[in-house]
Amino acid sequence: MKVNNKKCVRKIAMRCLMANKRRNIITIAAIVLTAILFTTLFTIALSMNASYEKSIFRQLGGSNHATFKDLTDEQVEVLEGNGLIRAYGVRTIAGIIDEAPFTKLSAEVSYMDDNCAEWSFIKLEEGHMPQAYNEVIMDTESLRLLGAEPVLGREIELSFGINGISEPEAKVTDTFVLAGYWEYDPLCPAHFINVSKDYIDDFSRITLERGYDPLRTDLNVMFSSSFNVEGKMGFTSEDSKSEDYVRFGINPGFTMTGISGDLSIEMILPILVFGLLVVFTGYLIIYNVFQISVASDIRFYGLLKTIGTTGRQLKRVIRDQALVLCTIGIPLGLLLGYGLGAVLTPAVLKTTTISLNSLTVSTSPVIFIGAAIFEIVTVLISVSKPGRMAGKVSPVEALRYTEGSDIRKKKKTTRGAKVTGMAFANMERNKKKTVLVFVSIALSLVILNAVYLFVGGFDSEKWLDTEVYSDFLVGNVDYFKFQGAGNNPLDIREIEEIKENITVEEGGFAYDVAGIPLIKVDDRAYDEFVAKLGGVYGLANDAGDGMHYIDCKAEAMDEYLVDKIRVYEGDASLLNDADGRYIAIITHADEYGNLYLDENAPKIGDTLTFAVAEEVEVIQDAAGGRIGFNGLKESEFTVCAYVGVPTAIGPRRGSYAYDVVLGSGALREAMGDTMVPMFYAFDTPSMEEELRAEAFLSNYCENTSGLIEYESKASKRGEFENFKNMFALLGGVLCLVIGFVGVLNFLNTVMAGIISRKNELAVMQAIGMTGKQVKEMLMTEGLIYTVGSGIIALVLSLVFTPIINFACEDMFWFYSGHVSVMPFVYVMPVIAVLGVLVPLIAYRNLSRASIVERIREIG
Amino acid sequence: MSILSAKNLMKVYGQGENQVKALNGVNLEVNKGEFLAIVGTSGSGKSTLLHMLGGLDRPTSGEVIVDGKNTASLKDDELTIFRRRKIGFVFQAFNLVPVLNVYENIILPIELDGEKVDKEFVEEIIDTLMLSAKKEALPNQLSGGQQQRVAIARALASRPAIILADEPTGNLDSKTGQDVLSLLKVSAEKFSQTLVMITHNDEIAQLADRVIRIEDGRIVSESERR
Repeated sequence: MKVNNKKCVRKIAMRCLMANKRRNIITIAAIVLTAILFTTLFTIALSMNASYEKSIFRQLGGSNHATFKDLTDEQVEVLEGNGLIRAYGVRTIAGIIDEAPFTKLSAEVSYMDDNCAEWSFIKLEEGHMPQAYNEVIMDTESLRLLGAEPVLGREIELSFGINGISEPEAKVTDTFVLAGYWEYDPLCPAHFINVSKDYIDDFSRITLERGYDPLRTDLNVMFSSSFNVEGKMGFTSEDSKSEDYVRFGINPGFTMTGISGDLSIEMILPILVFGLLVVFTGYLIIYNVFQISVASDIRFYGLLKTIGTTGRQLKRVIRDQALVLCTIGIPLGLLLGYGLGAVLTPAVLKTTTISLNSLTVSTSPVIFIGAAIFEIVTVLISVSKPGRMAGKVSPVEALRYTEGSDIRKKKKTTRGAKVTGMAFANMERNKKKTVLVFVSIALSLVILNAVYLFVGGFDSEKWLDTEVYSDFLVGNVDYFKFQGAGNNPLDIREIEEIKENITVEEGGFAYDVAGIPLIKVDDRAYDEFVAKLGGVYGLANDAGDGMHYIDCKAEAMDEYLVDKIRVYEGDASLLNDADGRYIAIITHADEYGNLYLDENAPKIGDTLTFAVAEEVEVIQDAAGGRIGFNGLKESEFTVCAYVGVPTAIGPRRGSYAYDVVLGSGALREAMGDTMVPMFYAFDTPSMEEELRAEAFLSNYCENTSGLIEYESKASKRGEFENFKNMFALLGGVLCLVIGFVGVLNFLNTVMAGIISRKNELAVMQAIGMTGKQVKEMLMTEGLIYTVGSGIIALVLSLVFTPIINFACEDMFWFYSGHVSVMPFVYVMPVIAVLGVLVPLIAYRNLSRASIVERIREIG
Repeated sequence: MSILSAKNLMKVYGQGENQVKALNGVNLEVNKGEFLAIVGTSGSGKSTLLHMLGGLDRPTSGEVIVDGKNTASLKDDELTIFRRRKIGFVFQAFNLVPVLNVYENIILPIELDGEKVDKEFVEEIIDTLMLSAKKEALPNQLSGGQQQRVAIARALASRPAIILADEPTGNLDSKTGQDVLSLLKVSAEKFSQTLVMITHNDEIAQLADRVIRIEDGRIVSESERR
């Protein structure tokens, strides 16, 4: 049977809503607060993801889905017409400059159309895209390197090799006019210098005339979505294959779009816990508000039921009211939450490896849709029980309902009718409600304390002790890049210059091997190695004596650094003996001290042949492709230890083979000059010297050299402080919101309690309780709530602090547990004052009506 | 013709020592168009009987048949729907919905049922009960007598099988009580309604076609007006 009674139900819901202003304000506030939390959470999470993606794209130099490389004009035309491609951008490369001043990062002279420029993150600060024949645009750093001020119309002379060929005869020199420039992006893999279409067409003709290969034209494409880019590429490339083979590359940023699905449990768990906490917080207050209002309106619902409102209709009355409040609260919460999320994202980003200038505040609709759905679900969960309660009300009982009127034997009390006794008795009348208020206030206090302890427990010195092995570490910029992109050695003259300006107490170099480091292994270890590479053809070769060369990573260290590595087994100090021939195997240990080594690993005491090849060559012969190593130098070493090299002083990359550490002296003795400096680490004798060195290095790296970079205790400490501040900030916001919810809950409970007892209080006064006594009673109730919650929270905190400390110390090795009740000392007076003030104000409003009026009013 | 019948109704509250038999085997037949008064002292079980007859509460045993339907077999929501279609209530405390105005209160049971409101019929009821001037007023703007008249109008509006009135004059002064009562009787006759009324006032009971007296949960006497 379908009846059309929704309108009527909605009318009742709306009218009730209108009649209940105080409750509405509190509910809306609760909805806004929880929606803020959800939206903030979503905004930060999605912005982090977007920032990560952007930083990857910038490192790759483009945000397009894929690129078809080296196409002919005909192929370009065919592809442009392909239906799967939503947008395309053409780029034709004229040449490359890798001589001074572009030694550090080469410049690519090319023509890009508007799409391609956009996808390459070229956003002109001033000027326009090159149009006239000799117009050119470039980034600000290129201008600086070329010694040209960023002034439009300035003439700039560029010389570059055709097709990147560096022979002098391939060199072209032309004078261009600056038409525009953009802010340099340090993450970009090359300096882009863009010329006009006319120029490139002309240049293309000249190239062919001079007998060079045609210029390389790439077609960057954007599909309708980033879904299955690989498949689409294969499909579209069929189109242009008619003539010859087409090379294409898929933007690894998109094959990595899985990062959101790839999030580790360490990332998801806190988000989940945070989300649940928000749901719970929202539930606490929204449930409480509705529970109280249903309880006090129970006779009203009973009446509705008597005259024919079904349980389902009553539930709908409650749910409709909640949803109407949602329509006001959620948009507000979404807006405020998005703002807060946008403000907080940089703080969170600072703690990651993603640089701040990749900051992208996501505008994805998922933020708003997701947060709104979460919020609505929270609200619906919260009102479901009060709704059921209203739906289940028995009409007869509702006709004679008073709150907490369970027919139960009352204990005989000896308290008499003292004011405080009555206050306590009043709290017992509805235990559920009382507990709810206690929980919601206590929860915020416990969380406040937990955040305070947690943030306070981040011990920067403990962190520095394990993370930092020297006061300073100076290396080539490449060393500090993620995965050590590029491989330029440290210029030793720079270190000499630094040493002249600061005082070094003790220090040492770490060296990379010039060439390809190899170790010799037997068949079994070789097979294992190939298997680890997943069948990919790696650098592996038959040594001719039944053994194989496989490539490894090797780091040679001065004594200063050898002393800092962790020894799991054996004696690493033997490495320091320049006349000895010792080598140590790098490994890790799990938390139980078991080493990650397979059974083929060289044993301590074994002899291991370490070799260095000058270059690699692919030899094609009857057996197929084979890799050969040329210019081999090798020497035998004895394995002396299994060691762990901390990332801070390690090679910062690894191989699939066994990575090794050697003593710098011994390696020099054994194999001659095969080492290039990687970094120089040193300590200063005093704090004063440390500060002086810090100031010098910071200035030197930024202004004088440009090729070296440094890490110091101070900069690491700064990083750690950022990390800590993020927790303080997020925790603080969470505390604030939950605390607010607690106060709102308290406010609602006390006010609703007083208003629903209007008659009763009037009767009390009628039979001789003075107004002062009533006030005292109400204030005592308020104090019991607040002080009681405080005590509960204190006890809970004291009980849980050791557990939290234990868990945190286990999880974060830089955490030092401690116990403190300082937050309580600060917060307790505030909530005690609230406990007294709120009932007082509520009563004052009530007492405006005379006793008789209040008694006669129908409750 | 019997529109309402109760067979061997029992209602027991509590258990063991505390057991109270509020109703102890009540048999009752009410004919269509009849005006029945149930009298008894406070605690005699008369309100309990009314709750059982109106489907507000369920008997411990026995059955209530209204308009040929046995209410014992109905689920909660079915019972509620049954109530809003078959029974009009008038309570001592008026029990109007405070957030709805007079007209909205009167048509509420019809709207809850998703039915179309028969405007002419409702206007006729409103006229009969002399509420035309107060249609837009909220319950708290009305006097007690006016509120009770609204309650009566509400009870009549859905053309129920039976109207149950529980001390309808209990909260009114005697003059107003008389007026309300005669209006109730007149309108029940005018709209040919069956009326069952509870009262402890014998004088009021004399207006009824038939009076039954209840004591300790049993019917002890029955008298018919001639």
